[in-house]
Amino acid sequence: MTALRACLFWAASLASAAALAQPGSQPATEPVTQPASAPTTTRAASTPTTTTPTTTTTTTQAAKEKDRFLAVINGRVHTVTGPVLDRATVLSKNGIIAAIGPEVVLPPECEVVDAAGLEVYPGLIAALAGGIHGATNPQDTSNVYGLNMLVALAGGITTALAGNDVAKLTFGTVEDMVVKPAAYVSLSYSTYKPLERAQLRADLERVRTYLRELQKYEREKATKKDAKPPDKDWIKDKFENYRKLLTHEAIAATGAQSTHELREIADLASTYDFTVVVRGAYEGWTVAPILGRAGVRAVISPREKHEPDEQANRPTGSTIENAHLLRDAGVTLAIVPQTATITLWGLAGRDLLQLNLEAAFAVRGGLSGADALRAITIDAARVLGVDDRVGSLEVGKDADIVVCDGDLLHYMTLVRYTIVNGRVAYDKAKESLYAHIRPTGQREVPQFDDQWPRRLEWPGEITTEARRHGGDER
Amino acid sequence: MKAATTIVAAGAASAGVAQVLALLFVGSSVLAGEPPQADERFTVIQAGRIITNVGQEIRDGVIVLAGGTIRNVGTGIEYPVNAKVIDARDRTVMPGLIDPNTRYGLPAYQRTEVHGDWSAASEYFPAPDEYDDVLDAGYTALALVPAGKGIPGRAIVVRTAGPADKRVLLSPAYLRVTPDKRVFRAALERAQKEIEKVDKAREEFEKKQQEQKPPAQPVSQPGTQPAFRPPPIDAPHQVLVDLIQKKADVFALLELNNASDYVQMRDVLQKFDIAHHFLARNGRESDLGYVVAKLGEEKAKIILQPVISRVPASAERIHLVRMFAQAGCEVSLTPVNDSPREFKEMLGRVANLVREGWSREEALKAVTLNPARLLGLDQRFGTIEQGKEADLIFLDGDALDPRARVREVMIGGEIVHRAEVPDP
Repeated sequence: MTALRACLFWAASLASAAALAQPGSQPATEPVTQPASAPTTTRAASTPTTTTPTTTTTTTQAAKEKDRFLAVINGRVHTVTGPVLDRATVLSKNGIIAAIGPEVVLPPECEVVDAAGLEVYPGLIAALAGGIHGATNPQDTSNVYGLNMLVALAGGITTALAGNDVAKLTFGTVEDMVVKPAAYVSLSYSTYKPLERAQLRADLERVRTYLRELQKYEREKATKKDAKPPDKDWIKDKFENYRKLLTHEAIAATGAQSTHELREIADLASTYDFTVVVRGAYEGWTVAPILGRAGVRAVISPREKHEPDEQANRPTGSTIENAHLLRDAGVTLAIVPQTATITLWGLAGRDLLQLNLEAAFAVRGGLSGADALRAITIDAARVLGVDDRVGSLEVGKDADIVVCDGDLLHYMTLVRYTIVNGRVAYDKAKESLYAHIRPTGQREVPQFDDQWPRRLEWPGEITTEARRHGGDER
Repeated sequence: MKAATTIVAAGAASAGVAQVLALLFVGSSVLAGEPPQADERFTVIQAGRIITNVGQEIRDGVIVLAGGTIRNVGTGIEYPVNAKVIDARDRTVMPGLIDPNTRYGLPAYQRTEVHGDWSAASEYFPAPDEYDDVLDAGYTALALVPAGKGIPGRAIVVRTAGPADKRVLLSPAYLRVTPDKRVFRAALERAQKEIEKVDKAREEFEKKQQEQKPPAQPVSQPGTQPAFRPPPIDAPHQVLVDLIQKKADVFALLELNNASDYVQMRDVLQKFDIAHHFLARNGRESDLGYVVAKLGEEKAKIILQPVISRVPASAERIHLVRMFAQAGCEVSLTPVNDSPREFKEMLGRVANLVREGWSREEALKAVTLNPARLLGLDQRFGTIEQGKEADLIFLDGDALDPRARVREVMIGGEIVHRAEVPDP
């Protein structure tokens, strides 16, 4: 039906094709529904360093060739930053979302993914990951046909931290893989290393003094003739990183688990006014308001378990409510599993194969479903500093889309299609991983005769015994 | 019957089957009734079966050789009565096998980074019986590659036997490039800088010449004009400069360990258009199926291993060799590793590929003609037809019959090796 309408309307809307070409702009003729929160809101919140050079080049390169369209139609679209749209279309042009809404007109020669009866989400984001891409320079070292990347895509992940870069899971190509190189300035502020702590404070103080002098000079240079800019030769290497931190051009990342570690780093961040991402933070719930006020962002695993310290006269240890309490205090959360890698041999369900289920555990701890979803999409993108490009379905953002057969946080849900940069990177039916599991997409588990508890053909008396204990009520 | 007695070099008297005399060669001794001496200039192989690699197989045919080169092939062919005749009527004759990529017999010497000025020639000191096992397996030529990571150097192509002065066929041959994208790209970028350096020097030189030369002066003597002397190019990168400038008769052999390596290498090749072929390590488990269509599209020449692979993380078996061939690639085969056993298993493995569904003709070409074409030696080797050199093997059955084995190896028209076959 949509396709037919598309054909009818296409001729009329040719004039609007030019408008479609620019990411972020809306075609004037079609009644396209825009998510409630405009992308600009998100952009303002993001750090100024997150430029989009890759996107710009791609768009210009592709413009010379043929435009590449892909549309996900008829799905229930969860925009995350906006409303949930029933039977809506997400149209991607050259890897950028060009239109979202129930009445989007499809261009001719548009690849169509029919998501009728399926749920459409933005691609999931792993704020901590290993083994999906190569460790350094992911565009050069990644195995783009690797099994790890494939199973991560099957888990709905489209963007992940690779070393210190943020990279897409562009299966089969290295085009537009890196979203943001050098995502973090790594800080070491461990209480076990007092000298390092003192050095870091001294360095930050030095850079802050320099910045104040620079401000003073900028203020005075118009009026005072003998005003001199402060010496800036030493602003390089780590000092350049610290300068970027203090001017909000970069985000800091550090591991901080316990109450005092978190309190210390929050104190440092609010003293020098920079944004810091803490990883771990299992005792975050004990200092949640402090972290919230300091603008600390956290990467946590809801299922992480640590016994409370019985000798401490304060709340200690982990709790499944951690995510919920941190979120309520205003901390931007990213949820990752305890083993933030792809392990095909370890404990099942504790690695990046089930990122969505890790978020579901936060829901068990009191976090709302919407916030849990945010913690693996837009908020995870914000933690990585790439929320201007990925993390939600909005016009002008990258077309990273997950189509799955149910609520993303439900344990039965399987990903049908994962779309990265407007290309289908994973199709459940075509890959041998999960193609055999519920191939028609039915949610009810088929009741096999020999399902657990297994009813075998026991001889004589044992059969009676087994039936007494076994669930033969079915 | 022993091997040595099966094939006899016989005079015209014993080879009385085809006594068609070319007038030119009727010597006076024949007229005088004396037993004629064998004419060493011509050798005739009477073969039970000839796999020519061009067109149909020939049964009960004749191959006429002169000076180590094939003069004629077919049935009912005239040849001089006093030619040296090799009776191979119970043999299948086919072109010798060629391995386009091996380190057989070379020492384990590893290099890293870029060494475009090196080649396997510096490691090639064959012992007299070095290649006996390879000859037993039917190989008449090998491309020996340097070992290491990055760009370890260039290959050489050698015959496995024959006179010492005719052993080395190509030196140096192709450039070996291992799947290290960053080294490969950095090497090409460096070579590009070298080219720019020379161009800049030439520009400056010409500018200087213009300035020095007063415009009023008549055309100077050609002898007195100083010639431009380009600044020296970094030796390890010279071959890469040649590749970028498409100068030399050289290509890069890009190795692929998996499908992703192809994507990564192609990313580099988008910027640097250089002559290249591929070697893909399709082991027991391989994801190369992902890039079959892409490689087929560019009609790539690709070296593969003669194995049936398995799709990673599944029990699905795939005939990658056939898939590549059917997609449009020109497939050459190389033994799975450099052990003598693998060389001897080679025809058996090829037979297995045919059994699993591949054309017999293509399979045989993949070990003879296609490697020759890849190495640029197809004018000399790879088929049995007029003008080709007589590097042939004689089998006591069909090439793909598991019971058959290579019995004699001919290089440059001479039988250089006879397999020691125990009596059944």
